[in-house]
Amino acid sequence: MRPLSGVRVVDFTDIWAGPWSGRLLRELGAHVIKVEGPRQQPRKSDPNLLRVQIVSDERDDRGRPKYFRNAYQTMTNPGKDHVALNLKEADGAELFRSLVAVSDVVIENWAPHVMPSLGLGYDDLRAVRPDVIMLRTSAMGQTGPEFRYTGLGATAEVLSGLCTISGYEGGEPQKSGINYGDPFAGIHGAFAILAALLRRSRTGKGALIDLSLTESLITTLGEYTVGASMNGEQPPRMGNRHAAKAPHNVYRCAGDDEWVFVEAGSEAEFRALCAAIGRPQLAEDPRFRDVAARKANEDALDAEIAAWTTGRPHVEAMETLQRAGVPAGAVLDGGEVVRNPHHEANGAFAWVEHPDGKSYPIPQMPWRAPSAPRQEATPVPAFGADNFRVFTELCGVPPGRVEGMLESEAILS
Amino acid sequence: MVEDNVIDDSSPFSGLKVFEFSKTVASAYCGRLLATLGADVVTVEPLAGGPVRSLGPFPDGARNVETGAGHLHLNASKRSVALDMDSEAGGSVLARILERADVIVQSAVRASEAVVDFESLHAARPEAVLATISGFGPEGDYAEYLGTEGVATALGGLTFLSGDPGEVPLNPAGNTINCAAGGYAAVALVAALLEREFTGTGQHVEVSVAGAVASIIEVSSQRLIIQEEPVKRTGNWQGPARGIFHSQDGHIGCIMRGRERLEDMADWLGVEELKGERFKPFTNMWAMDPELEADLNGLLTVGFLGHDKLDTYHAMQALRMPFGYVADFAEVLSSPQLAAREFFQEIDHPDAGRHSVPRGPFTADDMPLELGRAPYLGEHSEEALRGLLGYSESEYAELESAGLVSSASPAEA
Repeated sequence: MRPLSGVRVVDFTDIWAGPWSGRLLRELGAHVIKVEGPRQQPRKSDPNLLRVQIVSDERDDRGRPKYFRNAYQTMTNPGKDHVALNLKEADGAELFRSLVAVSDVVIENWAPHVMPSLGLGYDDLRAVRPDVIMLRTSAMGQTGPEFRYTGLGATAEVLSGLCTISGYEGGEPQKSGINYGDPFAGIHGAFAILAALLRRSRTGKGALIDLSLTESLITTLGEYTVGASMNGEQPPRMGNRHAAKAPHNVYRCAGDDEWVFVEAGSEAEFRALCAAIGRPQLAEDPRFRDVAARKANEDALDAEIAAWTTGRPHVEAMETLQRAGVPAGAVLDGGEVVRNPHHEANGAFAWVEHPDGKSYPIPQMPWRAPSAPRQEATPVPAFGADNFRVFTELCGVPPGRVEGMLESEAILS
Repeated sequence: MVEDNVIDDSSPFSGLKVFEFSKTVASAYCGRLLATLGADVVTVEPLAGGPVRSLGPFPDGARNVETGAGHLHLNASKRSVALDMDSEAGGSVLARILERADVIVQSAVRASEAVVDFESLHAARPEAVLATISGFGPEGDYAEYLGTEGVATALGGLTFLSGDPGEVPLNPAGNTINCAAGGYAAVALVAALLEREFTGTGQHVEVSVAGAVASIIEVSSQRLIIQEEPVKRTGNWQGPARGIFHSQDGHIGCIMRGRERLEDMADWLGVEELKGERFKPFTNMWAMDPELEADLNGLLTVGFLGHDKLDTYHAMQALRMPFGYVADFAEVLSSPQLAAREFFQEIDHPDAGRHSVPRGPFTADDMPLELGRAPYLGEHSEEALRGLLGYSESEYAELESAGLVSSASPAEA
């Protein structure tokens, strides 16, 4: 048995934050039904999010690509059933409510006005499923003067404070390379749902959860809000250096754009580092005798370490240092991460054979849990692929009626 | 308090006895998520205080085990026991914890350094759940590597993506990655608690910090396969009309999803050239020619420079574009949106003074999130040993006089 066997989730979400919550629940054994709308309907000239599309040459009878899945879809939605509805049609909204009636959880991540305007607000859903657990993920939360504002993971990132402490010394605030707010909201959202399920198992009560991308990210940065409130303190940008440790930096290695991160958090690690780079005498050098001295002479120290790393491949430099007891990490690019032996041994990615003939790596959960072993990775179904089965078997709609609603485009394909 | 045996139905974890052994931020964050929803979390620390207490900033910059911002945030609402864990008596306290805990959460840079092993826990209390978070998980080539925040970020593929093209890659500041791993652990742990409702048996969930990073590098892992080259870092310009730009008074996060609002933007910014014919053929921002992208971003740079960041933020949001302003932590603390949602809880601390702690990543209609101040080192040693672990008054006095447990309280401090 998996922890969420028997739990059904209606996942009406887009992009990354909301779908990631659904993905986590799926990995724990829930039956997740992904509901898509006209925005996700395949078109010949789809705005290709992040210039990444996985498109098969195979066409359906209307000449559209049969598998039209961008990288977000393959990353966030494997293992979910896929149905598609036009919720602005009365029949579409009614079908949504009938799905909710046989489900435990609803996840949505649209702007706050969207669900109530479709007749699918919390009270509407509670009318058909009194103990429903509804997760509403949004940029700013469901209340407050800016509740109508929209945002992506990047919006939350700039609003969270993170960019102002990240960046080169003396340089600009730095945006990270990902939509930083999204995965945190996805993880926190799954946690909130699980907590609500645990409460429901004891009390029978459902829950309405209001998750703001911005607040969710700031919660991981609380030491900085505490610091600012106590001292008015805004830590300066210091590149890869650290306020209380030296060395702590990213150093150039032999190959093109190859780097290694190295730090020494204790005297023992510093001695080990000096020995490993063939300069044991550095540990005796008065310029580096303790953390304070090393912070004061950090440029000189970094130059000594860089002199050693520059001639070495990044993985080799890491292995040498880690074997000596020094925290070091090769700065891997996306391809190196996927093919790294440690990540491979831990099943960090599953390779999915897609009908277009290519294989794609799908990130897996970073946990090992005896009752939630990795599920077989499968291609993400096409738009509306599970319409017929879900609406007839789960919602009990007669097949002829499903055909009619496909015709009237309340159900989309 | 658990002693009162009053179980509050509105809190999912009310009555749950959690013991925490945090050698890194990861399990401290996990414990904080549980405490926020009503669990009784006891952080078991060495006599000198756990590592979380060394995370600054500190009021007036003076290091102190009671006033570090990391401690005030991550240990809010927890109780503290200070114990000489290496002593024989410490071992016997640990044995009692194993007999009485519902949940144990722990983290270390490598799995082999974790305090509690599952076999012992399972033998002592079969229904207890253990969550262990380590840099690289218990197995694989790097299981014995030191998986610090910086190392895991590099090896998970996130560092490579951040920073300016051709320059040294940048780690995001802070401890967010350990928080992500702590969040994943909280998800897996609550799933195990849910399963226990049916099976009556606990289990061990193990999370890898580097694996957590690899799961959230967005489409970087997949782009490699599709485009057959790794995603490179692009600094603060992350596409057409996307990234961090200067404003008159700071920086703005420009996040535009399509060109449909470009003309409205041109009017508001006062940059007529944005209406140019050459931007018109593009319904799709992501398929833009690099030269045109540079032109577009150049025009926007000029436009944003003429405006205050908050004005731009509100004006662009009024056009339904997901903009943000680059906020430092003073601005985060003074956000009217966050204030209206009571996101920060003001906590009084006898030594650190009044400070602002994020309440948690979400709210729920009738699940109160209430935080108490972070505990003094060992503040609850006697209360926990006598109340939770069944030590008599004289047994406790013996341990204390031998210097094997310690206690502090605001009055004495």
